[in-house]
Amino acid sequence: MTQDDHLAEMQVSLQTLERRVRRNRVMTIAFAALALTAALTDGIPTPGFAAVTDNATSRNDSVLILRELVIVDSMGTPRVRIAAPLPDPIMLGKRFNRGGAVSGIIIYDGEGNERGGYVTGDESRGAALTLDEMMRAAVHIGVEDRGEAHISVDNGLGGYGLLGINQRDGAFIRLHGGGKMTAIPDTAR
Amino acid sequence: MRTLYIVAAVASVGAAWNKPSDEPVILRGHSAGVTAVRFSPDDKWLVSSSLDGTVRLWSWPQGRSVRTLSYGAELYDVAVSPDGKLVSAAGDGRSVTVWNAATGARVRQIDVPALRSLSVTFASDKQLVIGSSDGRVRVVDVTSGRIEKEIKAGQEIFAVAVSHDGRYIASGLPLALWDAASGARVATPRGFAQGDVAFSNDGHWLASGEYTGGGRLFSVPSAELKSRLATNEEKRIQGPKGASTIEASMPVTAVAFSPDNRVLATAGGDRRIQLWQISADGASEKPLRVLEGHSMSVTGVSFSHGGESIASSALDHTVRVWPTAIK
Repeated sequence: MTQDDHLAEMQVSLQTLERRVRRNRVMTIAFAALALTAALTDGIPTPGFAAVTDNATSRNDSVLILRELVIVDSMGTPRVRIAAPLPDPIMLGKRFNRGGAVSGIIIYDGEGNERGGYVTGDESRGAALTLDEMMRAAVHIGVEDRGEAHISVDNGLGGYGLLGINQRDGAFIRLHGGGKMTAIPDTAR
Repeated sequence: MRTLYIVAAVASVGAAWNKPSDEPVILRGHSAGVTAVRFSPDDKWLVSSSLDGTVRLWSWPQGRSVRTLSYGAELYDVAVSPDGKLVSAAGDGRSVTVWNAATGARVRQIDVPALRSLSVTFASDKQLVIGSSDGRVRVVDVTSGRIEKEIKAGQEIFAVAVSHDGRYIASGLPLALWDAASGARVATPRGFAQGDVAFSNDGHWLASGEYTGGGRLFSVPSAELKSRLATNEEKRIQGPKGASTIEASMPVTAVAFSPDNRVLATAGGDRRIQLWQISADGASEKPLRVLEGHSMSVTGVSFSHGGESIASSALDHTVRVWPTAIK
């Protein structure tokens, strides 16, 4: 290799190094700008990520992630509650045991009495929709995780009607009123 | 024109003087439903508990809120000791608090191994009886805070009462009568779901307020059913033959006897207080008086010890004090 060749080679290497330095400088500035953006916006824009995450620390400000939401009326009385789990029912100024944890939506009347709900069990895996009189569920639509579903109405004094279906019996109706029970199909025959 | 003003002013004063005798004094201050009310033994103050987590003491007859005691969670019942020195309240959480009524100082916090306590009453100046969500009735020494007796009494104890001679404890739900000394069951009166229980002062009667509707009167200690007190309200219904009306039985959450044992007050989901005359054999058919004014369900009733007033608490955030006006 002649001295000229050697000088030419060194010049190429020098130019390569200069390009690398310039590129690194641009990248440094770009990263600094990105870091500054992240600091100011409390997050790095990540268009490839899902908008909703399953954890409670989502930074997407269009999604509200809570364990409980309570809507109150002008008196401050809770009228709607969405929660996981829901608190025990309250009725006529006293709180009762629910007899199993549930999550979902509860509605309350103007006095704050629980009057119905749309819930799933936390342990049972059943789902139910209920409408309550004072002190008791009067209409109940329930479904197990598998094998059974029913709609029942009940007057609290022994009178009730039940329309059900299950994997063993198929569909059936039971009615109790006036001291008499009627079943369809009539299993007594 | 001036004469007209004077006539109007005189008419206005006259109207105030001629207030209907059953118009109540309304005590406002709680920020949520009021769950119970009691008169002090000397009738000079009242105490109320609320879902807002406070107990309030009210001067009587002035009707001013004179002290607010904070518990910090929903309160369901309140009691005053027979000597009027202590106030206790039961509520959400694993403790029941006792305050000095005169100073508002917290005298004792009684640990109760249940999710919540739903009812409380004093058996004496030194003994408290607590009903809790775990179905237990506990008799507690107020001085030490020690649980002296525990009765496995039912499902959830929404109501407790102690007879005035201290012999019996009544609890609900379900309704049961206990020997206070031994904790043994004395009788099981035929009730369903009890929102409240009360003994008459002479110890002859036990009254229950039924969540399923109406009130009941039993003899003590035989638990013989003497009267059913209907608390019906007309409701429009759909029946097999179309729309019509029925008399629906409304829940009763509160019962109390007048000091002379002749009148029983019932109140509850129908927003009314009904005063029933009790005959010598325990019979009662029609209410003597019906007090109306609460805009939401009534949760508690208490006669003054002189018998001239009856206080009621309700979910409309108020306490009302009515003249009993019964001769």
